[in-house]
Amino acid sequence: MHKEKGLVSGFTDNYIKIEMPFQEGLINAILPAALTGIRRTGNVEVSVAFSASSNPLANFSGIQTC
Amino acid sequence: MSTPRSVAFYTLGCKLNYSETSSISRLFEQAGYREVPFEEGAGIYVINTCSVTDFADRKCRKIVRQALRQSPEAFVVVVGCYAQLKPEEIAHIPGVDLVLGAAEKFRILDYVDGLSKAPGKGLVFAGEVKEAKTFSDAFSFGDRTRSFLKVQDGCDYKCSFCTIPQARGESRSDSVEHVVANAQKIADLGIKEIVLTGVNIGDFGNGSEVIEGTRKKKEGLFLDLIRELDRVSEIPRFRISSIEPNLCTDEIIDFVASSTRFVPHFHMPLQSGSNKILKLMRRRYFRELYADRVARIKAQMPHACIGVDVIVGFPGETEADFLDTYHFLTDLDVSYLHVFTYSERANTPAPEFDDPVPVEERRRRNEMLSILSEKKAPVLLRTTPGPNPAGPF
Ligand code: SF4
Repeated sequence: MHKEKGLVSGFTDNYIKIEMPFQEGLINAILPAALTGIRRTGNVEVSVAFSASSNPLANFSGIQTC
Repeated sequence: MSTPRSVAFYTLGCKLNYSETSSISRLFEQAGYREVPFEEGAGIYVINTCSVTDFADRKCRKIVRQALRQSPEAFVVVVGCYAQLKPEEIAHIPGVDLVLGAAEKFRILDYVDGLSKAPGKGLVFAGEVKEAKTFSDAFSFGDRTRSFLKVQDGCDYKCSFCTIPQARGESRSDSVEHVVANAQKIADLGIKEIVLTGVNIGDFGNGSEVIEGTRKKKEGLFLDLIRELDRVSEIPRFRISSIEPNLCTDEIIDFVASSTRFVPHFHMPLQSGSNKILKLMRRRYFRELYADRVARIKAQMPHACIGVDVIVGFPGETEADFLDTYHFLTDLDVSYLHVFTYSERANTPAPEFDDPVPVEERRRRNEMLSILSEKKAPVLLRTTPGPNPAGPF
């Protein structure tokens, strides 16, 4: 977790290192996520939905701070 | 400044070491010690070492110095693989008070009580590694949102480059029931992901002989373990840290493919893509078996991540052997490589082998495979379900 840089990071189920802007509810949460781009760090950018049912893309990956 | 009965930890090496440090820290906590951050200054510093990393000795010295800079009166205790392999050398590092071997480290409180700062070398309690026969369970908790759960320790294999069996002793495992109970404890702490760790986890329940057909099954094997863990519904994610390809059976692959909790991520050491070198390394498979495992995983889980350990510059590895490995890995549908440059380890057979590879050449080969690894990573992104990422590859 890189809260000080305004980011949280984690891994998808299939071990893609991901990160996105910090939001309180993401800490230690596993959530559906859609891969949206690659950052300069090489990590993959994601967007998440807080409810699986509301996200049509939700079936494969999660985010977890590390 | 140090607080009385305070303790700080430093861990070098693998997930297994992290899980063990965490368990040792709980022993201190139960005995009334307060854990403090390394930089805060503690009464006792415990350094958990690794023998696999290069320059283990230099790293250990540096951390001892750092600890004493924070807290000049602190007691410094060194445990872990390097402590088992080179106890006397470590005891002579200025500032080290106590060195504990593989069989002693979980009884650390018996040794630190009554420890006094003596001039000269530190005390050593490191018996023969064959005395390390009991299994001590461990899991990490606190500093990460994943927990590393130790399920197995030691190794009975005889890979010609490896010191781990000398540092950790023979293969032994927890029971299925006890691992499940630990998983439940971890769930109760609110942790969502468990990474199963060990030295040779596919050998859980001494499964190698059963899988190789030389012994009848007596106790639960790794497959039985993951089936039972899959029922711990409070843990949404289990990850298998690393499994030998010869022990990654069809049944294990099929089970992971059908599980909603075991994630599609395999880390399998290959070490070389040349059968000649695999034989010299005394590995228990040839490249054909490895390719077969990868094909089976990918057939069932096209988006699975497969990580590979490779050693370059092993004695006798010619340019042609290296290119064999390079081309084998180029064609293999894997996601990342952990590339290790071979380095000679005392008390292993490999340094005696003919035709050592010059160090510069070892580095060049490492560089080539590291570049190959970078090229592999984006492929997984394209095969992962969902919209493809839009970023530059
Ligand atoms: S399988 Fe080989 S490399 Fe792995 S710990 Fe055992 S002896 Fe060492």
